[in-house]
Amino acid sequence: MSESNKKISLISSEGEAFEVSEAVAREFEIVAHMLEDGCSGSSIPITTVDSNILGKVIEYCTKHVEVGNVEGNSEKAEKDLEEFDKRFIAVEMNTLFSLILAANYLNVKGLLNIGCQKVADTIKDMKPEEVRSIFNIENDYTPAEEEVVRKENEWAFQP
Amino acid sequence: MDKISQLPDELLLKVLLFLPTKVAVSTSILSIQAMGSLSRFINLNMPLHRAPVIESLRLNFSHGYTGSVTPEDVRQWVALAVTRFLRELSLDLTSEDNPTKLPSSLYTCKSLVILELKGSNLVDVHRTSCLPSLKTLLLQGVLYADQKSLHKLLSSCPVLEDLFVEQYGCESEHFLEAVSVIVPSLQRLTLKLCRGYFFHRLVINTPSLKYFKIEDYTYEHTNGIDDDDYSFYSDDMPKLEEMEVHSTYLDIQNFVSLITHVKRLSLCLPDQAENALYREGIVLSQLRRLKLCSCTINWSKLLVRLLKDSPNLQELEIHLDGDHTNICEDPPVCWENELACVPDCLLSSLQTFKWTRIYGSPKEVDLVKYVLRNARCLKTPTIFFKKFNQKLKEIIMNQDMDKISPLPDELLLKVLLLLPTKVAASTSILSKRWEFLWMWLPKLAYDDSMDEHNSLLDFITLNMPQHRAPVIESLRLSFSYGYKGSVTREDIRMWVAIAVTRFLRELSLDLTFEVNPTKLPSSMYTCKSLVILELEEGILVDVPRTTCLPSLKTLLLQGVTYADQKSLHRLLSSCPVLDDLFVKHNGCESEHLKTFSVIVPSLQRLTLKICRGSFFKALVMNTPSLKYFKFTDYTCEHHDFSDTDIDFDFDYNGYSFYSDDMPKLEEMEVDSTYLDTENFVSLITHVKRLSLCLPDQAENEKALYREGIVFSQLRRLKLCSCTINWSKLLVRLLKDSPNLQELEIHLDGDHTNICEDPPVCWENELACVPDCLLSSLQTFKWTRIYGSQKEVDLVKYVLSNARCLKTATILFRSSDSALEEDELEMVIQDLSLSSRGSKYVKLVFV
Repeated sequence: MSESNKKISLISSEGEAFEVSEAVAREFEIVAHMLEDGCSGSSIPITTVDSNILGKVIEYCTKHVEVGNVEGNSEKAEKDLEEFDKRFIAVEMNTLFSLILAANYLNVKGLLNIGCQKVADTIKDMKPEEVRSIFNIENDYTPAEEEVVRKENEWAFQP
Repeated sequence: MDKISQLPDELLLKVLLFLPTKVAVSTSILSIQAMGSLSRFINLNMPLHRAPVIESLRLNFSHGYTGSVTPEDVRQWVALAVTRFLRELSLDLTSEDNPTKLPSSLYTCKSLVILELKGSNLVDVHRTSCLPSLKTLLLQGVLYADQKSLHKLLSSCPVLEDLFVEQYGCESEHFLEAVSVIVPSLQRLTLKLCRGYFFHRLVINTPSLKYFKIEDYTYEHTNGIDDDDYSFYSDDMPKLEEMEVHSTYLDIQNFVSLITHVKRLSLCLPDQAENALYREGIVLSQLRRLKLCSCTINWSKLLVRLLKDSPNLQELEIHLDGDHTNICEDPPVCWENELACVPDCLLSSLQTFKWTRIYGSPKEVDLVKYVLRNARCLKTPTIFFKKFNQKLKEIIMNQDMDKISPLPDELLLKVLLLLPTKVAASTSILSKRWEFLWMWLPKLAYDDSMDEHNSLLDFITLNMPQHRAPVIESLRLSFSYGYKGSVTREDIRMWVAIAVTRFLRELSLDLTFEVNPTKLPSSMYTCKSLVILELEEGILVDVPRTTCLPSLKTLLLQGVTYADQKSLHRLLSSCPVLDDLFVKHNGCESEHLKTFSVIVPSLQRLTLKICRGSFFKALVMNTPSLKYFKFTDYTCEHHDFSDTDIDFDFDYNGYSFYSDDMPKLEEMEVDSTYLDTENFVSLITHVKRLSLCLPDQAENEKALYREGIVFSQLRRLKLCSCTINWSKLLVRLLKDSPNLQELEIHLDGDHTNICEDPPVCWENELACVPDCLLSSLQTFKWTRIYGSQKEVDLVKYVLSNARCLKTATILFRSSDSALEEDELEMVIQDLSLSSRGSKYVKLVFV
C-alpha cells in the first residue's frame, strides 16, 4: 500500500471515528506535525472538535486535496475552489465560529483564512450598533463610558 | 412448614436486626392481640432484655413523656444500656419541658462511640467523666447544668471526630454565654447558634478540622437587643477543606483567614455583603466549588470578588435557601460594572454552573449570559427558575449567544487585520472586551483622503504612543490635506520613530500636501527590520552617514526631495539586499538630482520614471542582477521658465545614459522620448518580453537601433502605436525577432491623440515575410485600432502570413474612429473573409 493511500482515523470529541486518507489528515497541520514527530498511531483523537464540525473540516480538506491533485486547467480549478470555499463558508454564525475555532486548533490555514475573511466581510460596512446586534455582542459600557470611547476615537466613527 | 422458626438464633437475629425495633419486637408477641403504650413496653422489657451487648439504644420521646414514664425511668434505661457495652445512644426529648439528667455512668461509658442528645437533656458533666471511644457527638438544644458543662464534656472525649452543637433560644440559665470548642481530634464541626442576648463569645481551637459548618440566626422574640454582639476567636485550621457559613454576623477578617485554603465553600451572609466584604488581596487558590445564597441585597458583589479571587474554581452554584425565599426577589446584580476583565476561573477552570430558583430579573439574566459567554471550559450550565417562565428560559437557553467576543485575541486580531484600520478601530465601541483589542493590531494604515482630516490627526496623536502591539509590522500614512490643528511635522516624525522601535517591517508615507518636505527621524535609516519602504511626496530624503537598512528589499521613492546630490546614492548603497526599486523623479525643480545613479548589485526589479528636465544630466546604472526594468522618461509639462533665473541653454534631450551589462534581464518596458539607443539596445538583446513606446524617436531614422542585432530570446513584444513611424520600428523588430510568439499593438491611454492615423508603410518595408510570422507567432492583438486602410492592410498581412497564428484580437476604438458604423461593419466583414496563413486562427473583434 502506497504512502498516500494510508488511512487515518480522526476521533471527534464524541468518540466518533472519521476515516480519511493520510493526505487529507495532513491538511490538519497539527496532525501533520504529529505524524512527522513519529506519532504512528492510525487513530488520532481530536478531543476539542465535535463530530458535526470535524465532518465539515474534513469535507473542506478533502475538496482541497482533490483539487490540488488534479492536473491541467489550474485556472478553472482555482475558480471552482473559490466557488466551493464561498459556498462552504456560507453557514450560520454559530457554525462559522465553531469552524474558525476548529481550524485554529487543527491549524488548517486556508479554512481559518476564509472563516476570518467571512467575519471581516460581515463587520465591514456596518455601524457598530449593527455589528453588536448581528453578533449578539452585549454593550457593557455605561452611557458615560461609551461617550468617552466615542470621543477619544472620534475619527473611527465618522462615516 | 414453618421454615423460618427452624433457623438458628443467630441467623434469625440477623434478620431481626434489619427491622425497626417495634417490628422486631412484634415478632415475639405474634399471638398477643393488644399492645400497651410504648413506655409501658419499655418499662417491662428493658430490664429483661437478654442481649449481652446493646449496641444501640435510641429513645425518641419527641412528643413528651406520656403515661407513667418519668425522667427517672429514662435514667434507668440508659444506665442499663451503659452496662451492656453501649456503642450508640440517641435520646430525643425535644418537646419535653422537664430537664432530664442522665446517669453519671453515661459520662464514663468506655464503649460509647455515638452520642446524640436532643431537647431537654440536662448535660451535667461530672469531673471524672471520660468517654474514651466517643467519635460522634450531637447536642441539639440540650440544657447545660452550668457554663462549663460543654467544655468539660468535650475535654473528656479524646478521639471525638464529629461534633454538632445547636443552641436554641436565649433566655434560660441553662444556655451557654460562651461556646468553646477546643478539641484537637475534631474533624467535622457543625455549629448552629442563636445570636441572642446571652450568647456573646465563640472560641474554637480545632487544628484537625476538615469540615466546618457555622450557622447563626437571630432569635425572633428578642426586643431591642444588640444582636451583633458576639465575638469569634479561632486558631488556624490548616486542614480545613470545606466550610459552610450561614451567618448574619461573623467577624469577617477572622473568618476569611480560615477559608483561604478550603476547597469547597458555601456562603450565605444576608446582612453583610455590603460592608463585610473581606479585605482585598486574598486569593482562594484551592477553591474548587463555591455555593452562594442569593438572598442578600449585594450578594453579586461578593460573587464578583470571589470569582476574581478564585482562579481555579470549577463549580459555581447560586441558590436560594428555603428559609430565605422572600428576602430579596430581585437582587440588583451589578455585574459588568464590577468586572473590568473576565475572571481567570471563567477563562480556564469553571466547568459547572448551576443557578437554582433564579428569580429571572433582566440583571440576573445578564449575569447568566455573561457566564455562558465567557466561561470557556463550561460543560454543564443548569438554570432552575423559581417560577417556570418559558420566555426567560428561551432568552437564556435559546438566545443567539455572542460567539465572537469569547474568541481568543489572536483570532479576533486576525479578523481585524482584514479590515481597514478605521473599521478595526471602530470596534472599540462594541464592548469592553473590544475596547483595546484593535490596539494590538500589527498593521496600521491611516488615510485622510476620505475623512475629516483633523479628527484623524487627533486620533493618531492620541493612539499612536499608546499602541499596544509589540511589533508594528506595517505603518502607512497618507495625508493629502496638510498639517492642521495641533499636528506638526514633529508628530509625524514621532509616529515613525515609535513604529521603528517596534520592529517595523513596512513603512509607507505620503504627505502630498506638504510644501516644505518633512525630514524623517534618523532612527528610520538604521531600522534593521525594515523590508519595505515607500516614501512619496512631501518627504525630505536626508540620509545620514550611518545609514544601514540590512533587510530592505523594496524601496519606492516617488516625488521625494533629496537633501543633497548624494542622498539617493547613499541610501541605495546602504541596502545590501534591495531587490525592487521604484523611483519617480520630478526632475524639474531646483533641488533635484543632476545625476541619477543606481548601483545596486542585488537589484532584480527596477522602475524608473524620470522627468527629463533641464537639471537632469545623467543616468548611471550598475545592476548586474536585474530581471525586470521599466523605464519612463517624460517632459515636465508644468515647467515654467518665465520666473526662473536659470541658464537657458538646456537641451531636452541632454541627459546621458550609462549602463553596465544586465545579463539576467528578461523583461523590459521602455516609454522614452529620449534614450541613448545604442546603449539601450545592448541591454535588451536577451530579453524575453519587451514593451516599447518611443514617441519622439521613431521619426528620427537614426533612433532605430543599428542593424544586425538579433533578438533571439524575444517571445512577447508590445508596441505603442502613438508615434508617427512606429510601423517602421515594428518591421525592424519582426525581422530581427525570429522566435516571437506574441505581438500586441496598443495605444497608451496617455498617448491617445498623438497620432490618429499612423502611416503604416508595411508592404514597402518587407521584401520577404519575417521568420517569426512563418514559424512562431501565435497571438496577435491590436487594441484601439483607428481603422485606416493602411492599418487594415497590416492586419490582413499578418493574418495571411502568420502560419501558426491561433488567436487574433482586433479592438476598434470606441470614439475618434476613422470609420462610421456601417464602414466598421464592412471592415470587419472584409477582415473575416481575408485569406489566412493558419487554418486554426480564431479571430475576435471587440
